[in-house]
Amino acid sequence: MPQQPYDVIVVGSGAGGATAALVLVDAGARVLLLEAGRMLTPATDFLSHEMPWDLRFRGEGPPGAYDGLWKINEYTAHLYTNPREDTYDALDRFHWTRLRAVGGRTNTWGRSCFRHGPLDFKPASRQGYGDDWPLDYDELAPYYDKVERLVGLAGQSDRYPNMPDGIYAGPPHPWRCTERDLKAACDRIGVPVLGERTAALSVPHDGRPKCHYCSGCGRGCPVGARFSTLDAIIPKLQGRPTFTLRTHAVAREVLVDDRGHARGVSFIDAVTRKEEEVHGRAVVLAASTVETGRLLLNSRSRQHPAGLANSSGRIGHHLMDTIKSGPMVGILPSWRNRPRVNDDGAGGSHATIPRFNYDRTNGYHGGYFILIGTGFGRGATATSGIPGYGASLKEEIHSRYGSVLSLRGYGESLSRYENRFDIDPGRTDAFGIPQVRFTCGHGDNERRMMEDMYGWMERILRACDAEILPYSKRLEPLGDATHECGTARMGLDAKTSVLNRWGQAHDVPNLFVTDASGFVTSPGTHGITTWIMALAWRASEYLAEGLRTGDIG
Amino acid sequence: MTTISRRTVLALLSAGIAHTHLEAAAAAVLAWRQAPAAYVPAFFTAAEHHLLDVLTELILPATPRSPGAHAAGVADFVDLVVAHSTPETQQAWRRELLALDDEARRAGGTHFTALADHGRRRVLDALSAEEAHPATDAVRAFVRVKQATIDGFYSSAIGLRQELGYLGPQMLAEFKGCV
Ligand SMILES: Cc1cc2nc3c(=O)[nH]c(=O)nc-3n(C[C@H](O)[C@H](O)[C@H](O)COP(=O)(O)OP(=O)(O)OC[C@H]3O[C@@H](n4cnc5c(N)ncnc54)[C@H](O)[C@@H]3O)c2cc1C
Ligand code: SF4
Repeated sequence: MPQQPYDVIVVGSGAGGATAALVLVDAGARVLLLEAGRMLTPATDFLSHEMPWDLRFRGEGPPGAYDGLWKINEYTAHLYTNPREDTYDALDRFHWTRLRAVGGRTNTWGRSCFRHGPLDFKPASRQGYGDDWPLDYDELAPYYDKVERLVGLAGQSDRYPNMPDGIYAGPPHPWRCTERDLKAACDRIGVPVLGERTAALSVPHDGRPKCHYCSGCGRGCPVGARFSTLDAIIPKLQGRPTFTLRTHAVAREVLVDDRGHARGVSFIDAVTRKEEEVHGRAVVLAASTVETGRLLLNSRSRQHPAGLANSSGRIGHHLMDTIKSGPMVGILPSWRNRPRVNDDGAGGSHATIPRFNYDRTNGYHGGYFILIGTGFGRGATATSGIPGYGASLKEEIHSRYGSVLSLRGYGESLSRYENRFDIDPGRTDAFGIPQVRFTCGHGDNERRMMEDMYGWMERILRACDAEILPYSKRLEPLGDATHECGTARMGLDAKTSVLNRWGQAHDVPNLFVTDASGFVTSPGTHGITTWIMALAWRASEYLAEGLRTGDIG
Repeated sequence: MTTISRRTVLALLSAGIAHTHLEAAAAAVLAWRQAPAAYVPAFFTAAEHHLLDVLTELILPATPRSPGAHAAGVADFVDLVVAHSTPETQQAWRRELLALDDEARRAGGTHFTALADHGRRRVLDALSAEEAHPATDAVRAFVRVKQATIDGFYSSAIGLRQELGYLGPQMLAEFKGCV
């Protein structure tokens, strides 16, 4: 047999895929990285500094254009997949936010990077619910170290329970006045407020500049001050003889040999629309949780009739996302008519409320964190419910601008078999690839947690003496937090899980998954991405060693 | 145009002028722009557009701090959005604006736009009194125009910069936080 040009085919260049490619190439493997989207040019693709009036629809896009997926707007529509163009069915709704381009969603992510701690890996044995992960925090900690050194975090040690301190390239971004006030109020009622640990640089790091505080990160950073695989990993790989990046390569199916082992990937070139095949000794999937599950379910063969590596029947099941409450908004009288300052900062808040329900009896499993929104942003705040018109209306909006504190709870959703996606027999995408459909929703545990979130958000706003605007309790549809995970779960038992503790498929020894598909739980701590990357790093070292010894491939 | 402004700014940044106030760069770009031609409504009739313009200025008028909705071109923006809305939404706009004008004729004997200022206010005061529980198309027109005016005004440079005083985005060498 002629020697294969590649050792490993990696699918997807986001958090999980680019990390795998870097570790594998550094270990000497020859890697082909298949990416469905195009290469991005930060200076022209990221509208970080644009103002509403620079865009035709003031940044909102034509009415209803993006189907309620709020991360997609006129500044980012050219980056994200439009759900109205690439449609999918979702009973009870699932907000599926996809970004096909080199770097995936690390181009636009929120950058919160809190570590998950010992309890998060052991919900069954240490917290009394769900299933344990097949590894523990101590095993992953060295990989968190490696990831954080690469990513470059602004943060500080807090010695906070179950949220281990990390490695920080620079200090945390300093708090706005409103964030200080919030901390003072929360101190009075025993609610913790910590500095953000964020992948927006407060010092130059690894050849990238520090943040210039334009708050445009959700549209992509023009200078690479926030971590993305586009800015921080791909440049380390390009030009190396053992690395090949193929853009516009939409993976359709993982190919298998007679033994049912992976032998390569077939993909469609999005430009020529031609189907091609590439071969390698191993395949790593990191196309993002749902896309990876879709690819596996679409890879049916004689050896794997229910989809590749799916003898457990679990692929597509146990779909989780961080649950997300609706907002609770308060107006702080003491903040009204504040002197204007540039509050933009490093995008998003510089302070956060971590999970704090550890020592209480809660009536539900798991926990949640609360995200805060304050400051003088690029739009009027809390303009609804003001009676009348004319100068008085204008005055009230002026007075409210920057006086608002808005809170949202983000918490664990339990892993349940019923929450799932499968292949929709009646729908394909523009390339003729069968699409998924979602059947999922919130359960009792999520609703009980939501009640607790609203109770505490109200207590916090009261402690701030806020005038609380009318709200109705609700949870956003699953997917809205863009932390979807769990649909090719890791576990010790091949009958109830898809991957082992190395992210290696139980059924297919030369197939690895390094995105959040393998997650066993979705704990209420903010930082799925560095968790993905740490697991990807560990899996890729294991794979590289297997390739070297010949145990794999 | 937006691309030029961004490129200009990025060029400044790469030249090491990281403190540069973005506004200065944006102003330079603006200066090259031609004065825009008069807006031709894409959905509303000339009469409807005029009514909308008058209503938006009454809702968010010029005040000592900043010009009002008319100067900010809010009616033009609303027309653009409605022109891209569903036929149902478009018909609702048309029907409700008509009902508002009917209300003016009932109360003041002529089109809303033909009323003197106090006549216009009398109509709007009556509609505004019911805005929390809109039961008629005329009240719904008020609610709809008010929301659209707020959206359009505060997403304009006049509304966000001059009226509210938003100071970003800048490229700061340092963010000091609360000082
Ligand atoms: C607005 C926003 C805010 C967020 N905030 C945070 C945060 O604060 N903290 C946090 O930890 N996480 C956050 N996230 C989540 C974070 O972005 C994801 O966890 C992370 O990007 C997932 O990595 P991934 O590799 O699984 O998928 P992605 O980053 O989505 O990458 C997947 C890649 O695979 C490619 N691909 C897909 N299908 C195929 C195919 N068939 N063939 C070839 N390639 C394919 C895609 O084009 C894409 O490039 C946020 C996300 C968004 C959108
Ligand atoms: S705020 Fe900082 S990290 Fe975010 S886009 Fe601007 S420069 Fe980049």
